[in-house]
Amino acid sequence: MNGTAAPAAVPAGREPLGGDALARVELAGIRKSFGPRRVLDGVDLRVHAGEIVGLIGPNGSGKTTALRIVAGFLSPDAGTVRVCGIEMGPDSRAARACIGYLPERPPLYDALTVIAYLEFIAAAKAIPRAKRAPSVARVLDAYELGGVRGRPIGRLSKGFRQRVGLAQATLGEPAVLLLDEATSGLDPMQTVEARRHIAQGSAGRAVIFSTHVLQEAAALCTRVVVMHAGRLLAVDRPAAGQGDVQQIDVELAGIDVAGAAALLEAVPGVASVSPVPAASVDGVRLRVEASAGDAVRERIARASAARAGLRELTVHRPSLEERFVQRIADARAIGE
Amino acid sequence: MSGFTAVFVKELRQYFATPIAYALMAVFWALAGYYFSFNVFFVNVAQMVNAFHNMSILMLLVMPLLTMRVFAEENRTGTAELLLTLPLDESGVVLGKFAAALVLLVLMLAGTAAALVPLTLFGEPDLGPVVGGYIGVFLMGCTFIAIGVLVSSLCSNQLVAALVSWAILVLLWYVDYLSGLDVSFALSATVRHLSFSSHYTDLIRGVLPVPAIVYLTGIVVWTLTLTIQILRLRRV
Repeated sequence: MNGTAAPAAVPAGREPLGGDALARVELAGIRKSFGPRRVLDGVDLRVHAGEIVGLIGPNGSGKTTALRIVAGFLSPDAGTVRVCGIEMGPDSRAARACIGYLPERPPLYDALTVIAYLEFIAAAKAIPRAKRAPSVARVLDAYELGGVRGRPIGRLSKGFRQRVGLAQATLGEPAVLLLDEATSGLDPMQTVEARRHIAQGSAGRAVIFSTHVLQEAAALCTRVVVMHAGRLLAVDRPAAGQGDVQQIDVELAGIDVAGAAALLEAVPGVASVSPVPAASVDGVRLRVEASAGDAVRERIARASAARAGLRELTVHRPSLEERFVQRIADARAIGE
Repeated sequence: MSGFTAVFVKELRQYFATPIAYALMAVFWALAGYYFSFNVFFVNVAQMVNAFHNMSILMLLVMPLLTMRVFAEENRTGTAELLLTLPLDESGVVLGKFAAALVLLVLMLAGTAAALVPLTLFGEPDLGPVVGGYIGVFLMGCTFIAIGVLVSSLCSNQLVAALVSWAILVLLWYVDYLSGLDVSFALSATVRHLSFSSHYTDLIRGVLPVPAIVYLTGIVVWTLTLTIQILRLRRV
């Protein structure tokens, strides 16, 4: 049987920082306020090549501001940002050259044709003249824009506009890709297509992807960062079964609650043990939070079988949505 | 000045991808031609100085319409975020946009050179002052464009950008009227120097006096520098 939904994400607070030559994006102690309102409050994050990190959080949690700071559009009040090992400063052109950025509203010039727009982006990204045409042709092909290449952007459907936005972001093979709610406002078919294009464009890059859609984060991201009130609350792996924490309900016979709790707490890998209110009549039922992996489950089973009668052991893997909702609820409850 | 060429080409493509550039040039040529013909055939004055005078007034009306979208439209549609996150220099962005607007100014003035045909056919115009006059009018157009670019960088509404630019240009044209208040000699001299109208009379005659050139060039440099700083401050 399954227990009730409970958080399984690792309360990360802040990721460990330090020199990391492999990190494509490093944020350290980022703070940002707009007037009296603090939007980011000490954000630390590292993203490596090949990672797709999803930023999820309620409206106003600071996702867009964090992305804008990484992109060089905003400067932080405190903290440092490094992109491809280059610190973002007043003259951050070298760092910006490593970035492909798609803001929430695709930044398109309606009067320009798709090809003219992409040629402008290629020139602005200082792609050598000889390589511009092949680079543009590559993204036109990758995002299936060949049929509309001569059409003014203002006459394109929303799905096509999004593709043009993605094409400009990935033009020039940037090492870092920043996507702010890249599928927002698209219909279901366009969303599926956009996700496919995002996955395709993310290969080998460090990608930060903000979204409200948890299924999208689960489908696309290798790691999910939960943001709330300008802070990182948790880091999680979205795919079911790959959570950093698992929840196991254990029902034992022939032992009291205190003894069972002591028994389970002694098992390596167990983080916490708490009683489950709906215990069976002739035994005890406890909920164990433990690090992920089969080995911990086997150790719990062996220890329980050796000291008491193991009646049932149920692994509960809360969905990303359950973990997200619980993390936000916990944060609100303690006033973070 | 990274990105100058990219922005310059993009701006030109945008101008000519919409009816704006064609409409503004057509209006400018039509009105300049009308006033020139009126002076030649009805007032019987066949001098380019009158044409330059009318061109100056027309530029004052037309240039804000040319520059109003330069940054205001980028601010409204969110493409300013793109410009500031691409590996471009702010100076490249501003000068690229300024230079593209200058191309239209040159085309507008070049179109009016058709007036020289009847002048040459029916008279013997002194081409020195004509060339000087064109340079003077071009210099004034540069100034109007630079002011329009600055105002546009502060707006996210094109109409507001145009109205504020007109207000500033008209103020700078007529500011010498304040010298009539006769408050102090220094103030009167200053406002006379600040006024476009006190400089343009010599410029359209092709005299090209140094104070006028320094004044107009100074406005161009100052407003473009300020625009670059405004873009840099956006990142804060």
